[in-house]
Order: sequence, then C-alpha cells, then structure tokens
Amino acid sequence: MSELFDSNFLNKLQQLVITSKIILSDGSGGNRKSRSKGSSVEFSDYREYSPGDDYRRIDWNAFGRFEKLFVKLYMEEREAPVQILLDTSRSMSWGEPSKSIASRKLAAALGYISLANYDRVTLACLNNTLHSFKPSLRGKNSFGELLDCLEKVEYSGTTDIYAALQAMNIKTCKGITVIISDMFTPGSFTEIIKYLQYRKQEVYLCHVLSPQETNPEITESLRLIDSETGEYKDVTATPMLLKTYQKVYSSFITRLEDTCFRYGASYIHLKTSLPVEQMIKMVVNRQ
Amino acid sequence: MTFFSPFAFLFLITIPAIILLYILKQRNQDYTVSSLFLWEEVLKDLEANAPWQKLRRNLLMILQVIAMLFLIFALARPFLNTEGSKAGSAIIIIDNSFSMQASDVKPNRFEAAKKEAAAYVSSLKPGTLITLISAGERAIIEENLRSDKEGIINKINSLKVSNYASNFEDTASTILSVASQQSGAEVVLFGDNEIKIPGVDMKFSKISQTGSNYALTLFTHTRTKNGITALSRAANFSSAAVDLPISLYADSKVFDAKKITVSAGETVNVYWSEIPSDTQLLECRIDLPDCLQADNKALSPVNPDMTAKALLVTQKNIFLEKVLSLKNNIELVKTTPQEVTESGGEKLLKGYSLYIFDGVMPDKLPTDGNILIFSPVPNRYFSLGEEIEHPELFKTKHQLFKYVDDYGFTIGKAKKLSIPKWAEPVLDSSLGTLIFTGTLENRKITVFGFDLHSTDLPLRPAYPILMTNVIEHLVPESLKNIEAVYPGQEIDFNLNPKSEQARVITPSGRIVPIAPPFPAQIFDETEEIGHFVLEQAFGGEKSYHSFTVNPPAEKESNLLAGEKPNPIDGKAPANAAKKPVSGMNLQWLMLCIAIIILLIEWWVYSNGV
Repeated sequence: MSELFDSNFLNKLQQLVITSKIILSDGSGGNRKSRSKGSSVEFSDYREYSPGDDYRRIDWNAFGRFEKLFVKLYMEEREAPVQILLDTSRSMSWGEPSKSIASRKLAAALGYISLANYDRVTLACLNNTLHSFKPSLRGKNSFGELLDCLEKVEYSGTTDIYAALQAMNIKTCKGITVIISDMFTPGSFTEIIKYLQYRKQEVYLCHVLSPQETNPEITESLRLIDSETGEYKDVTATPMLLKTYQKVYSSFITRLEDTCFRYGASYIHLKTSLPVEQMIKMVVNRQ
Repeated sequence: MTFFSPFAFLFLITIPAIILLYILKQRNQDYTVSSLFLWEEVLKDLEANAPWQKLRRNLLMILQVIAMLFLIFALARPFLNTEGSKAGSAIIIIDNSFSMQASDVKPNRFEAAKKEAAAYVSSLKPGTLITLISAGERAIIEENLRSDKEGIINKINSLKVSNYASNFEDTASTILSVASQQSGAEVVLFGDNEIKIPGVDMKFSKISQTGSNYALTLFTHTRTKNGITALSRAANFSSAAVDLPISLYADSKVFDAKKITVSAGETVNVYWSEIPSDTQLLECRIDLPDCLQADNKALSPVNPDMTAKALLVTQKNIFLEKVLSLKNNIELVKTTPQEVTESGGEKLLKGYSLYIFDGVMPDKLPTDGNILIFSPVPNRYFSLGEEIEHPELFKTKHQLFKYVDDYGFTIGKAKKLSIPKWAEPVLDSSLGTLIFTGTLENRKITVFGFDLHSTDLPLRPAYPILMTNVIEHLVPESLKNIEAVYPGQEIDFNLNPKSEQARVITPSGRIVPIAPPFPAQIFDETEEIGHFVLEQAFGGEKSYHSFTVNPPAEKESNLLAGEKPNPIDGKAPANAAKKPVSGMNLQWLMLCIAIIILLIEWWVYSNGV
C-alpha cells in the first residue's frame, strides 16, 4: 500500500463505483449498445426465469429437458476503450496541494470506475512525448497494474500534448479520452480536440490547477522561475499585476471552455484543493 | 524665485545615478512557478518587467531622490524675491543713541534693533552690497559696501549702545551722502525715531513701544550764604500723572527726599537748600522704576571756589576794567606801565594767573601766567606789520568767537599782526590778521592788534561774549565751568600754566593722561556716565577738579517721541510699524526639508516599511 493510494483512498473508490456506476453505464451504454447487437452478443450463463424477464430470452431447449424456465444471459458488449492521458510534465508536480497527487488520484479513480464497469482502460503518461503507457487494462484485477504505473510516474520535461498524442498513435475506434493536465501547453488546444475527434474519441478535459495558480499570492518583487524550462521573469507584485493575472487567467479558462464547447468536448475545471470524490462527481455530472 | 548658484543643478546628474544604482542593486527573490505560460501573457500586457515598474514601489529610492533634489536646490541657493528686494545694495542704519537703552522692548530697544537688523540682512539676497551705519552722537560707517552677510551680522552683533544723544543732522547728512553714492539702494533705519531725509526713500523699522519714563533733565547747584542750593528738574515722559519720589544724596549719603506730582509730559523744578558747603558731590535720584533707569540719576560736583588773580597793565581802559569786573572768579589788580618800569618789572610781573597788557609790553613776558595783549608794541615774540585802517572783517569759527554773531563792529586803526609759529589766527580781515592766539612755553598768549578805544566793539553785544570767551580761554580757573558735561562732549581743559602733568580719572577708575605734551590734548572719552576727576600736578602738589557726565535726558528721555501720535485720532501712523522685509533665503528651508526626508528614509529603512 503506497502513501498516494492508501486504504482510505481505495475505500473511497469503492464508494465512487456505487455512486458513479449507473450514471456512467447509462451514459456510455446507450451509445455502445447498437454496436453490440447481433453477432457481437456472447452467451454467458443461465438463470431461472423470473417475472418481468424478457420472455424472448427463455431457452426453450432447457425447458424441454428440465421443465423449468431458464433465460440465457449474454455478456453484452459494453466494453468501451477509455484512455486516460495524464500530463506528467514538471509543472504538474507543483502547487499546494500538489497537482501531481490530485491528478494521479483522479486518474486512478477514473481508471478504477472504468475497470469496474468492464471498460478497457489505457493509461498514458505524457509530457512533450509519451513516456509511460499501459494499454488495454481490463477488469478490476488490472487496477493494481494501473496503480503501479501511476505511482512510478516521474514528473519532468515540458508539456506538449499534441506531440505526445501523435507519438501515442491512438486507434480509430469509438472511445473515451480523458485528458488530465494543467494545459500549460504550447499550441492550440483545438488541434488536440480535432485530432482526438478524428480518432472518434469523446474528449474529457480535466483541467487541474492548484490554488496558487488560480490566485497567486505574491507580495514583493520576485524572480519567477519556470519549473519546466528554468526560464525566469522578474515581477513586482502590484495590484495592477495581480489584476492583470486574473484577467489573463480568466481568459485562459474561457478559451479552453469555448474550444471544448465548440467541438463537443467536456471541460471540467478542477482545483487540487478539491477531494477526489468531488472531482469524480464533477466529471460524471459533466457527462 | 532666483537661484544664485545655478551651477549646482549640474548635480542633478546624480538623480539618474541613484536610480541606476537601485536598478543594479535590485536582486529579486527566486520563486518557482509551475509555468510562465500565463505570466508571460501578463507581462506582455503590462510590460511589467520594465525596471520602472519595480522602482515605482521602491519608497527608499523615491525618498532618496527627493532628498537629493532638495539638497541640489539648497546648493543652488534659492531666494524668494519679494517687492523691493531687487536692489543690489542696502544701507542699514542702527540707532545706538541713549534712548535705545529703554527696556520697553525686551530685552531693550537696541538689542531688539540689532536682532531685527540681523534678520533683515539674512533676508537680503546673496551678493547684496551692504553698508552699515551706527547712528548716535555721530553717524559712523561701520561697514561699507560689504557683501559678506555673515560678517555684517557679526558686526551688527558687536555694536554697543551709547550714552550719546541722537544727532539727527549728522546722521541725515551721512545717510544722504552714502545714499547718493549708491543709487537704488534700500535704506532702512532700525531705531526709535524716524528720520525724514528729502530725496531718500528710507524704510523705518520702529523699535519702540509706549514705555513710561521719568527723568532728571537738569541738576545744578550754586553756593549761597546758607551753604549750597541745588536745583533738579524732574520730567514725566509718560501718558499719566505720577507721584515721583525724589531723593538727594550729599557725598553718597541721603540728605533729603521729596515726593512731587508731575503731570503727563510736564516737568517740575525741585529745590534743595542748606546743603553743607563742604559737600563734594551731589546726587539726585528718582526712586521709581521705569523703562529707562539710567536717566533717573544725575550728579553735580561741587568744586572749591577758586579765584584767579589777574594783572591789568594799562594807562586807562574802562572797557577792560568793566568787563573784567563782571567776572566773579577774577580778582583784578590794575597797574600802569610806569609802575611796572619803576619796580623793575620782574618783581611786579609775578604771581598772577593772567597778565593783560594794554598798549604796552615788557621786554620779557611773565612766565607764570597766561597773557592777553591789546595793541602790542614791537617785541621779540612776534613781529608787527604796518598800521591798517578800517579793515573789512571776515567771519571766523574760532572758539574765541563762539556765540558771536555780530560782526558789525568796525575797527578804525589796527596793527597788522604777523602770526608766529606757535600761534593761530582768530580774526582775519581784508588787510591782515587782527587777533591771534597761541601757546608759547606753556603759556597761552592772545593778542589783539588794535586798541579797544579805536573800535566800537565795546559798544556791541559781541564784546562781553568775546571777552568772556577770551577770559575762559586764558584763566585756568575757568575749569569751574566744566562741571556738567554731556556724553560725547569734547573737553579742552584750560590747565594751570604751572601744570607739569595732567590726567583724568574716569568713573570706572581708568586713568587717561592728557598732558604732557602741552598743550593738553582734548579729552573726548566722555561717553561714560558718572563722576570724573581732573588731576593736575605741579611742583610736588596736586590739584583736583571734578566734573560729571549726566545722561542726555533732555534730548533722549522722552521715549514717546518716536510714537508721533496723530493729533486727530491719537493713533500712531500706520506706516510706523512697517517692517522692512526684503525676501526669503530658501537655502536653509531646503536643507531642513532634505534632512527631514533623509530622517524619514532612515525610519523607513529601519522599520522595513
């Protein structure tokens, strides 16, 4: 048991599955049901008929042999590829509470919920390139593998999600892509959405920021050093400066929200100070 | 506003230097942020990475720059001009006459005047040429066209108030003379009496208030059969009647005291009689405090009654006999030239203070007395010219003609006098000198070149005046008249011809030798108020003569004189209190502000504001 994912956290995940399952199933099941009709339905098991069951599914052969009504249970093709793209650039290890912890907990929670719902989960850790990749995890048993991967994440380098996505080479099939990032990435976010939608992905952007980023608390002349590049800028905290920061920050958020809205993606703004269950609720409700 | 050292503005170059130092000095604290992604946009918006932005909040630097600006301004010697301060020169007159000792203005008028004058000098723009005049008995130019304000102020502070009466004529004449040389100069008088001088635009800084003063304006005495009788005159120079307690001291012991009522602005004579004859010094005092204490006391010396013996050698001269008999202090002995010749001359011509030769002269003049000669005959002491008739007389300013205004007398015949080296002319005419006087071998000799019978002078008012002056000049005992002296009065002592040494002992005990050499030098150290003694030594003996210097109360004690109340409404003229203000030197102000800002900067630095 690691410090990051302790028993308390795992218990919370169990809770999240119960509370989030229906919503998540409803949401994803509807879309994927049509695809699984016909040949794609596989036999799974029998069980006794109970009133209200679809009588079309009664196995009359079994009735002939045992004189009891049994209905066939099929394993529905509800498995959806869920790709969790975790930004592991240096900037993500900053903030109090740290974005690295909040983002990994969010990734673990989403992964767990997806695995519990028989979805196929892919975890990709990326900064300006893809450096850690856990493809096609199935079933709850794979969660340990997912956690293991998350615990070993190293935060380094700069952010370039678009470049990393191209390196990842996502298959063109319907799926869900959750991006967990602070979005301090060069280039237009539009390109990323377009690319993912081209790959038939439903995009969820979990924009994780620390309170220090949403509301910087600087009171004197400082040399601001970029944690990723080491570049610096000298600033003197003035009311005007902080006001301008708020303006730029709001503009940044609005820009991302607008882009997401325009291209049908979901934007979830998350502060690291939020508890993980709150974050999951926000993600699910957004859906 | 004028800057007298504009070159100081070159120091403005230090301002960018200070700012540059701050820019170089700035070391911001490192602060790691996740990314500069947003900050770059912020700074692009604000251009906040400019150094000026950082400096904007640097209070220390701002304070230092402001302090430096004020220092530079101070170095540039700013001067705030006001009306009338554009003159390049100033003439400052400080009244140091006796009345300036009054304490109605604290600590006294003179100190207050000095203070105001010093303040005025400070307010003058730098480079102003200042002439400083002290005006008392005479106007003295203490400093002339000096631009060193510090030196002028030191000089003002070193001035001392005198016991002299104001001499407005001399002061006005000096001011007019100095002002005419310095056209456009600002003339300012600091004193208690305004002086109006036509052609001079003079500002007056009145240093006086309505102080009450009581004074003894006269104190004299005379000998009578019942001893000494003294007269003192008390004046009330205040605006209300007063009961004055007056006391008389005989040789420092209280003799009598009286209380008199004196109305405002009035004087009252007080007589003191039956004072013992052997008293040597009388003193009268007003025992009531006022603004000017010095004039509440007056002294009068009582010298022994001395009679001088005079020998008149003449055939007959009623004019001389009459005029000499009028002099109480002269015991006249008359003789004829024949008697002198018969007695052998030398025997008779001995033991007199004054020898008068009328139309005759011995071969050898007496050696123990002064000599007055009328219508001289040829002799070995001086030469005579031809006889002249009806000469036209020239007016003279000689001491012997003091108070003589009538030159209307005529002289029928006279002998033209050649003036010897030891003498000086007294009366000149169109045809030659008619009277001369001089000192020969410690004897004063005065020679009239004409016979009194050949002129109508004895019939004129000028005659008794002239003869009194001559007798005063020649008879040593006439010292008796030198008893009451005003401060500053010069005394030409008529010493005894036998004197070998003479000196004056001042009230403060200082000894001032006046002879030898003979003739005795004029004694002019009479500023000190009090009792003086003239000491003469001859043949192992000493004689003493007292005289006193009393305050010039009559002229100076009326402290209300400077107020000049308006006869209609009783108020002082509005311009009387107008203070001359020339301008303001802002250098010290700037320096003070700079120091205050530096103190604030230090406080900010200490408290880390």
